[in-house]
Amino acid sequence: MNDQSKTESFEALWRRLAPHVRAAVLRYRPRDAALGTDDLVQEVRIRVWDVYSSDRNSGFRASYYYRVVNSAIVDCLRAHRGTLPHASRAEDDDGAGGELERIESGTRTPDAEFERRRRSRALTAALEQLAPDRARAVRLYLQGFTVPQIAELLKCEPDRAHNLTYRGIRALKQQMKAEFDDG
Amino acid sequence: MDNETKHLAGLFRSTTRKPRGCPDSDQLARLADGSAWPWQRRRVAAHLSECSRCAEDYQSLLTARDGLREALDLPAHGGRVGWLGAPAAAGMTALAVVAIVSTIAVQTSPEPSSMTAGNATGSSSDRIFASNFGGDTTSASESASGAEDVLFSSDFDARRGS
Repeated sequence: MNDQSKTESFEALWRRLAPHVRAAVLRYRPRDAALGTDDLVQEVRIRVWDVYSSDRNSGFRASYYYRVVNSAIVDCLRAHRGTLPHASRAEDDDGAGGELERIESGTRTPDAEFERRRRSRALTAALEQLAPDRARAVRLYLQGFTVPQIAELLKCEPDRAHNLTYRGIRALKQQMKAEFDDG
Repeated sequence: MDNETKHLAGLFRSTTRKPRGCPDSDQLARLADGSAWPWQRRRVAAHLSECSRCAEDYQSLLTARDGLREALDLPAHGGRVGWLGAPAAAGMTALAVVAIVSTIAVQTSPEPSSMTAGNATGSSSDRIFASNFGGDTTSASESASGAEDVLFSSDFDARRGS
């Protein structure tokens, strides 16, 4: 395959991949990234092209390219997280710098910050009291995973993942309610 | 997700926004395409529950998973055996076939309960191995008690009885 036909075949492949790469980048594009979505997609494209151009005899399988694309997306998101210096500090919720900045800028009062920390500690303690299986499912759910995704990550049946998650969430709410209604 | 759960989720994510010991991009990619080893999957899944940044990265991959697989003419996730699963399945099938064939061979053998070296002469005196795995107890106990030259004898039923 000569260079021109290789470039053409890559362009054809990239036309099919690009919308999905864009969707992935858009889903959680870091708010503190200095580059825009198009630039991030372009970076992924360059990385995939590097691999594609080194594939002399078209010996790489589609599953390999799938992994290359995924890996490039993650690397790209990570590399540009925090590249916007000011937003980077605001994003860092637990950092002392971000905390001071929020209080100084008036976006959160010291009392509100104290209350947030108290609730956060109570949540951590409540999660530790759950049975290990439930705690794992609940943590993943709170991180934004859906029940089928939790089932896939924990390698269990969706029904079991559903039960673990919802019973765990219910127990968690009860514990938080007891903690803050009493005190 | 109701408001209370959303609030808890926001609180939880803000407390887990401290990247530490994060898996590299290749490990997340392997998890997304289902080719991670079980121990890797458990470890990465545990990390995703504790690190909101990696959880976001992984969710980005899940967003594009079906579309990318389709674009690359790969079968949809979940319905495939996987790169490691295919040879493993083939191996298991081969083992099953061997097991069935050997079982049939043993069942059709003229003397399944014993393997003798003296079959040609019809004598049981130079028997080197006699075994009865729950089969013909009479012949096995006979051979164990009567033949001095038996080097190894096994009769689980007889032992269980004594």
